Amino acid sequence: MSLTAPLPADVESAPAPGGPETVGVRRGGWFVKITILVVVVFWLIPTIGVLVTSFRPEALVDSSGWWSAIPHLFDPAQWTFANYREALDTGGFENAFLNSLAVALPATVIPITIAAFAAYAFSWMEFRGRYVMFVAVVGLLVVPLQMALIPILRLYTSGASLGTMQIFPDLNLNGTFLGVWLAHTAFGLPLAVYLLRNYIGSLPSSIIESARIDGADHFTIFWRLVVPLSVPALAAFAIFQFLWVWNDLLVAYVFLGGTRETRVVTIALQQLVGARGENWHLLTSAAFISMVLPLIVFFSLQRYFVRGLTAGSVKG
Amino acid sequence: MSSKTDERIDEEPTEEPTPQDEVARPVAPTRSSGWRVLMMAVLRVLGALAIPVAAFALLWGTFDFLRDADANRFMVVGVAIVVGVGGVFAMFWGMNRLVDQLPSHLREGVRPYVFVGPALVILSVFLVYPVINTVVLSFKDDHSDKFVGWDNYSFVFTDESMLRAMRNTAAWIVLVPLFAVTIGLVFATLADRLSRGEAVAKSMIFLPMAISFAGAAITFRLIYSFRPEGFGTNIGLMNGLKSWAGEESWFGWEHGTLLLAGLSLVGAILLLAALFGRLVGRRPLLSGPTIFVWVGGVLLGIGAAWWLSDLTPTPVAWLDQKPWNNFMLMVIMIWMQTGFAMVVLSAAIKSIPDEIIEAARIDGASELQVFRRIIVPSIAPTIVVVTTYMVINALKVFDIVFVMSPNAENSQTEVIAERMINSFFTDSNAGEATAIAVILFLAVIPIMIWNVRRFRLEEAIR
Repeated sequence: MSLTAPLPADVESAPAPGGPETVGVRRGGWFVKITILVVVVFWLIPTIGVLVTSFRPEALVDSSGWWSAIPHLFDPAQWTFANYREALDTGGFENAFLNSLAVALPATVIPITIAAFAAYAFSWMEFRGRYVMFVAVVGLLVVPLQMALIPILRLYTSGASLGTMQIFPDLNLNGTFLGVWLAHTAFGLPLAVYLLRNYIGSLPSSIIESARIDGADHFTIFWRLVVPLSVPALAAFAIFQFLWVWNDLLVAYVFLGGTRETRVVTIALQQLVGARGENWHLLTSAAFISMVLPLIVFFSLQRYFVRGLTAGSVKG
Repeated sequence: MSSKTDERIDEEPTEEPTPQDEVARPVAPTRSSGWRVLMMAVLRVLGALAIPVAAFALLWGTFDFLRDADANRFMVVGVAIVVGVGGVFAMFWGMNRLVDQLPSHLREGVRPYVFVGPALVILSVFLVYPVINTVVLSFKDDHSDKFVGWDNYSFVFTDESMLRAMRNTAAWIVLVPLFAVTIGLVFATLADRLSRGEAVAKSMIFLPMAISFAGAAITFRLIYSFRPEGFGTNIGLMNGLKSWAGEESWFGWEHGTLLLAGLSLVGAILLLAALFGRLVGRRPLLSGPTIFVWVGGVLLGIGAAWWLSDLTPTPVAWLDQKPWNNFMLMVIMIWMQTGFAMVVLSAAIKSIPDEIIEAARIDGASELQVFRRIIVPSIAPTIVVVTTYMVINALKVFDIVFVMSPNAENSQTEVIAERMINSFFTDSNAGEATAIAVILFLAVIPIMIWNVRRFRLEEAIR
């Protein structure tokens, strides 16, 4: 019966009527809507709890749950910015925020630049061993960064020596921004090279060859032609790497440490939990300070964001 | 992707002169002019060398400045960003200028290595060498002085805390992907059927993906927050709910009991609707995956309400309930990663041709059958990829445990990656820490290789 049944011409566009004999239930009814709503509310409650608590005065935070503030939404006595002032100032989160920026921006740009040059060479330059090198770089995707932490830390604190001969100088990089940048660069490079080589390699060869014929050298082609054309891939990876570095705790903990001068926001949060685990007005405002930049990135660059995170799913 | 690039690799040599060609037609200079050319070349090379050297000196000077803790913090951070961002480009530019000064027959042979060189150097120093070194260190003692054979590994597989860490990690890698992928799949299927607001609903679920594990850990510490009786009001959501459930309400019943009754009623109605909707021959009130969600949700609600009303209203220290506290921590990761599963699976669902689903519906398939027999099999490869990603992430989980349980051994919530940092920094035992890292590596390798191969396979098919 079904094989001979004529296909309605406008199955796609027809709004699904609620009639009992309707075929092609494209759109969900109230149950779907309610289900979605319930799940979304459920998912938002934790974040809302932090947000609400962070704006309540300390005394109220301490004496009642955050939900009891909701009936007083328009009562100015129930809300304050004092927690943020305290977290930024005495809590040291202004400093930590700046440090996070100083870590995350270069730790995003450096691997992208290095990877883009390498990806260009792997795609458009002729040299011995390029396929082997590319495969080796991609193969490093499988290495979890835990495998590299302790040796890199030793390189930073005492260099490396083979027998008695010093083969890597003691640069005393531990606790410096440069040390964290280099570590993050190494951990991000395999993925960056892999993604960018896929993208840059698929640019039409006619463009690059006509530029060659016009006398442009490789550096010019790369900088004036390939980089502008690769903005989508560069942006997707940049967002992935920036958030990865911003949200990272482990690498910063190992290489930058927890002194008040150099610590980043995630470390500062972790220390705050350890030291003042029940100061919820401070903890929540500090947590929100750490979230604000990722959330801005999330809401303003959502499309690149999703693409970047999806692409990053092969990172080891 | 691969077939295309392979083609190009074959084509390229015919289209541009290779270095050998240039070597093959040297200009024969006279002796004196040859000397002059050589001198000029040396001078140019020296001049070009000066650029990177000067750049390097400048960088080093700024690093000294950065170490100076007395400098203004804004200044330090600003300089760090400018130097870090500008430095790497300056390095490539300088090296490229250097290559330009080389004799012409060497130039194009050397240039590619200038482009890939920095990547290879950094990867060798910061990834390849450390991996080898970690393996070596795992056979040495706590101060890496002398070799101890397999001692560190036998410690890893006999120590009580390590064994518990492995059991906990095993639970993480099963439960987190299971819940995150299931919820993500059901939500993606349902959101696909919304007439509007799909993007908003999806981005709300995806939102936790943007924040750090540390931030999420604080978020959930607030939810689980606990104060013993007599030490102030409980401000955590869980204990707040619990005390609310114990309060007396209408008809002298507690909230919890009322909630239980209400949910049971809704559950019964839903069940009847699901069963008899079809018997009467009309479109069932509930269709497709909605049934799972609601029946599952109602059952969960009944369970929770029953539990809440059954217990006395004393607050519970949720993070001390061994072994359930492990699950309390897993909830955080599920909360964060479900959005990822949902977004990826949603894209896969949208790529199923509409005709297939329409055809099945015309053939009389129920929504549930469409879901089970068409949607799930069509996106099975994507489900597998998402699951492996989650497994790897769960295997390496560190931040959540590190922030939530400052003393993981007491709360028995250890995981492998957290044990590694603990044995290195707290126990100062580099041998054991590296042995744990090697175990982690060995556990990741098969999944990653399989994942990358699968990824490449899909790219090739596409």
